[in-house]
Amino acid sequence: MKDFNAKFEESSDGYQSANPGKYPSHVSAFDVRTFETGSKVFNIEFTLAEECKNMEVEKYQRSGNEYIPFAKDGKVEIISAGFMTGKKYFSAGVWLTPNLAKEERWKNRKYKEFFSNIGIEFPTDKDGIVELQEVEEEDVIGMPALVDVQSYTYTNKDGEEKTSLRVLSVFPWNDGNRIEPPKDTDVPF
Amino acid sequence: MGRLTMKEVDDLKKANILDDKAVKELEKKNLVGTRSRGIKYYFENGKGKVYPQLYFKGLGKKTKPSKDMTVLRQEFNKLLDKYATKEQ
Repeated sequence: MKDFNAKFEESSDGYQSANPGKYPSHVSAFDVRTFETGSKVFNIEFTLAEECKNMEVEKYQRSGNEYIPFAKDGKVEIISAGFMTGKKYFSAGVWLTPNLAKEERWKNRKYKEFFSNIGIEFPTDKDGIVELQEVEEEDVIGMPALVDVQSYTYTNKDGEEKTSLRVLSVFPWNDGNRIEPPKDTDVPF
Repeated sequence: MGRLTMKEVDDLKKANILDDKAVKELEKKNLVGTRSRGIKYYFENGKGKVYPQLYFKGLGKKTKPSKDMTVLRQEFNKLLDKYATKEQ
């Protein structure tokens, strides 16, 4: 080998697993499935925003299915969250169920809170009761939100238990700006 | 849906991701906790660790802390940071 001006330190330059935490983001994709009962489940993808670069977070490492703080000499290491910018995470499914009896309306609470926190304003009737409507892609794409990215364990089609990071809660990011969705580009011919 | 902790809100403010107005909006929607959690502070008294606590006697689950109580807790947390040792 010959001398070369380059260094690599595993602790700082090695693989950094994604960090659970609360981050600024924008809605980047939208998926909805409808069931025979009329219920719908929404899966929303969030892309973590440039502003993550301003944040400092505790460094985590993945150990099996768990994310644990990474301690060096007994102290949890603090790192820039810049590496989280651009990472994409789906929400856990958000259900909207139609025709619920009054005592079962709580089943749509998560739907109402989730989309209200993204910035959707649902209309209310003359008695002030919220009339939930079906959110569509164009209502939410590009909307800013603070998202809580946490580990989420589920069982896949083969019956195996899997863990991945998902958005489990959403909070309003009033200082964030909606970003324009990418325009459809004409295919040259 | 969960709530943001005071520390998380402070960190987001420091990172210029939230300003005071945005924090007020979050508080208005009851999306910010009123207690700092997760960090324990202690003093050594020669025999072991002593954990200082701030407790509002009479503040039940169905009552909300007043603005002054919240400020007092924030000041208390600053004093902890100044005088006590953060547990790792």
